[in-house]
Amino acid sequence: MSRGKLRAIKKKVEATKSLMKITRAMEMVARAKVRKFERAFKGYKEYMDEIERIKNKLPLKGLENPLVEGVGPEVLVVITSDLGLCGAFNSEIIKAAEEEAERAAEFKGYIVIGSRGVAHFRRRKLIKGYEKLYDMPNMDVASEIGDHLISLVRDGEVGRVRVVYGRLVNALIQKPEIVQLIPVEASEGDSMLEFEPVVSSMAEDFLYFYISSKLLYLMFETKVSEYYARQNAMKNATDNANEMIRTLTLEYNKARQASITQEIIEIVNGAEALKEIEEAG
Amino acid sequence: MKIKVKILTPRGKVYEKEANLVNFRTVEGAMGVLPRRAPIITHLAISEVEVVHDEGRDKVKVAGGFLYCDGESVTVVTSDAGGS
Repeated sequence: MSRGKLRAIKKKVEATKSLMKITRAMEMVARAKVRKFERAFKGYKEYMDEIERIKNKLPLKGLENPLVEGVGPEVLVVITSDLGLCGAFNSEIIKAAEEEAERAAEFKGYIVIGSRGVAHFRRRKLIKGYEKLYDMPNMDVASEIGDHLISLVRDGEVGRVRVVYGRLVNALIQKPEIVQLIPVEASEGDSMLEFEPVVSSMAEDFLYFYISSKLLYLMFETKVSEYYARQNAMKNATDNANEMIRTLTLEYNKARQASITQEIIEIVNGAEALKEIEEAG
Repeated sequence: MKIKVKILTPRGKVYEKEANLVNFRTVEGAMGVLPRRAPIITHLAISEVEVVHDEGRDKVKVAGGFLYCDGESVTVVTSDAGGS
């Protein structure tokens, strides 16, 4: 067994070790960040729950408003991440979006948030892409995108808007899911309620407020999902690297043992040969 | 009889108190809410919400938003609030 093979294996082990250091560091960063995002998301959820409650109390059904009627072609908002290295998270969302687009009766195009999605949809019916807008999702960004969507609906170009986002089932499972944003699901409302000002003039502002808030909620949830996905992906990478190092070390030891045995055999053979020469002489 | 007041923003809950009276401004004018008021939803103006309770009164600035009162509690959802 040659020395060269031993050196090659050793090099591989070293490379895997340094790679493992990186993936482990990334896992720890993701773990710290997910905690930060989750805390913010929890606060936001309380706020959103209350907005949903108010929405269900408002008699929006039957209102003559394009944001409630929803007639016209469909637009898909696809929320992805700006960074990679989070396993199949983004590709699953993109796949779900494409399947949904095929199902739609009248499909207008995609509005994509996150550079991963924008890179994919650039040549595929992209209406607008938003890249690297935020680390922590915020209202400014959500209302900018909300404004754009609402103006598309107002101009009559678009009637329906659906959002594909990364739903957080739990820490281990993140699943792409599709929700309807426009038309806003309208209920009969609560007939016991008073309104100030009257519903017809309040509805417009409320719908606007609701759409941006809902969009921000979905952006938040996708962000939390993304960091959980990254944490899992990096944990798997670290585990795989560990396994790789174990296998390579075993191989290295085997090769080393083989080369030692080879050398002993050569020495013993040499000694035997010398002995035979001495005896003959 | 008290009324529970809660102010929520995207950052979470910023204010919570048991109050005797809540004063605020809707887009149409000023209003006050006492405990056991008939349920109402209002659209708030960019203004101050004044909460009167046993220990005094607090003023919280709100960036518009909506207020929901069911007679027992008043909940404000607004994109930003502060300065109580």
